[in-house]
Amino acid sequence: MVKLPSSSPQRCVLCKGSRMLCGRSKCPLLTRWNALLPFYKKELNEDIFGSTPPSFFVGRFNYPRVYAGPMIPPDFGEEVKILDEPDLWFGKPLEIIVNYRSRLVRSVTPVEVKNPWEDRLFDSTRELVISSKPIDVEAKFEKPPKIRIDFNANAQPFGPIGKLKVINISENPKVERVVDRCVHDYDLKAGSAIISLYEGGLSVNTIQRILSAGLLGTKPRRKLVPTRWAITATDDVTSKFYVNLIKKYPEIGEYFVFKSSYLDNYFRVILIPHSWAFEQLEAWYPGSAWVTGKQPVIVVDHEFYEGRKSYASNVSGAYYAARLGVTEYLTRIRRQAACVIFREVHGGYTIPLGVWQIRENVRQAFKNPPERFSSLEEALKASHNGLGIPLQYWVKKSQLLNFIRNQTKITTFF
Amino acid sequence: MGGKFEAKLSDARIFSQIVDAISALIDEGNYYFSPDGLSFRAMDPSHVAMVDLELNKAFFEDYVCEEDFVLGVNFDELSKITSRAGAGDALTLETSEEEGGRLRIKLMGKATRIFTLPILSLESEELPRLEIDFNVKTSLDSDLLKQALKDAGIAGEYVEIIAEDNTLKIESRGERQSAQISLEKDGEGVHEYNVSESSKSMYAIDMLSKMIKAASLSDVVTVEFSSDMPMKFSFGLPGQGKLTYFLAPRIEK
Repeated sequence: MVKLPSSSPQRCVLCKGSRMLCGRSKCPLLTRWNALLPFYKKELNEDIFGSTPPSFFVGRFNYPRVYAGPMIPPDFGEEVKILDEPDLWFGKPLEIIVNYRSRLVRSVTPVEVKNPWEDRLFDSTRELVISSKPIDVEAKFEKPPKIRIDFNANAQPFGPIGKLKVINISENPKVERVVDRCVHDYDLKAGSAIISLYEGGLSVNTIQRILSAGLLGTKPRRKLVPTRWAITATDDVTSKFYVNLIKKYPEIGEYFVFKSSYLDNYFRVILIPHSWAFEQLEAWYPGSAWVTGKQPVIVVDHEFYEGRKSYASNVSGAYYAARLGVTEYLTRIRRQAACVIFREVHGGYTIPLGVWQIRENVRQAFKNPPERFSSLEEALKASHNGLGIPLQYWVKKSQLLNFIRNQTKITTFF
Repeated sequence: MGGKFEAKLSDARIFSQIVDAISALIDEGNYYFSPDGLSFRAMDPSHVAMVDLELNKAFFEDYVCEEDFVLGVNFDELSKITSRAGAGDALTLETSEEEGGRLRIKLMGKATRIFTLPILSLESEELPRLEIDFNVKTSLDSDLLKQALKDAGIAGEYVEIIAEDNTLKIESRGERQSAQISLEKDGEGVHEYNVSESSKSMYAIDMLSKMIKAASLSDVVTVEFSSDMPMKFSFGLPGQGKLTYFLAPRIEK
């Protein structure tokens, strides 16, 4: 039997609607948000003509027989691209993002994750997944798609949904050479393919889409990957690749502090002259997405030089999204550092929008020049400016700071 | 590198175990070869621990080194090769001039297997030998220490090691659990126990557990430390060789 965490406020932050730790079959928080949201008002019927950004979703429910298929807005043109490109969303208000997402109609087909292409209907959607440009399609649904919007912790929100009957792709997709090469290389491991695509300039969201559609990896191992897993896998694989580069670079010479805030999420990124290590601490305030009690809830995950062996299950997908932002920066400046992130999630973040928000917040932080300090204490003090949780509380919760502040170096004894 | 170099061992597995014991802590480093033998000294990436290996000529069945040279290696790459050594395999190390210098590793059993590995040119800042007069020195069965550290690891991330006149205590405390292990001066498995001054010091368990991996090389480990000073583990190797580890203490502010 699974033992439930005893304190329920902590429980919802750890679960984020995905592990059903409360024993219910449906997350009551997710259901509440669905009821609260302004829905897309356009009437939908069985036929939807539109340009898919392209967008493709693989559900997690009922794995390994999942519901998957392209997402299609009833709109045409290049503008639809932004509906499924979180790299372009930083700074936009919550309502705009919810609007983008509610315009995407999710078509689903029940398929086995292994050999989904044996389903002929599903097979006809394969070529749109790898298109680098929006692509016009005509879709026929069994019934008019039901209007609703779906939230979860890792992936961006999703709009109306309907079971697909027929789909016609009315133009030829444009495919980038690197995508074509990776998709057709049946000896290339999925991890290596992800790196090639990322180095080739593709966004996390694009790679995630191709991975989730089962188009990467060695032939016998290809299968559909639920979208939310594919997002974290992409963040994990790309940032691990960078970590290995970073370990060869010299350590930074000073303490750097970077700041960013968006969607009532407040980020402080502290870089410490030290060998690579990473820690993310998050304080979820009462009123924010997953907090049901009256006290803030703090969750933490960390890794030392060797990296993690298990999933960062306290901070979950956000950990990997933030780590990508940090490792991108360190690779750019060709320096090594230990990194501690403080994230405060205030009451205005009422609905979870997905880990892209974390990735973009961290990337944004690095767009401004850092504040520089010669001691850890000064850096911590400066980073804390504007945060609500007392600094000593953050420090007490941090394994990494605990290690770095108290561990002497062997060179001291030479 | 100019002169001839060749070293032979009839039991490849002992070399493989040495490489494993070092690679638990070290990514890459320089071997210094001389006509008398080889030495290796390197720190872990966080500069918290140091490994010091000395192998005399006598460690090998056959050892020819005409002049001093430095050989930089990546331990991940090296251990992938040496871990292929099976029971009864013999090992030969040689250098070759091809492609700007390579190390050739021969494993000889039923088949003869030859691997080559690039020789890295690493920043060869030679580390000093760490000479400290410690207040505590004890030799014990290496498995006894290994098990004690495993016990302590259940409770917390750090151990406090306390040497009193007749007892060595290893304690750890986590948020919810604690563990305490006592070893008596006259207890089974304790061969030597000298305390010139009662000492107490703290160390990271994960680092100590990496250091004790060398227990597979030697039945006895010598442990030395003083209050708020490094911890030293030394393991004897055939031919008067020695594998030594130093770990910097944790000093709580």
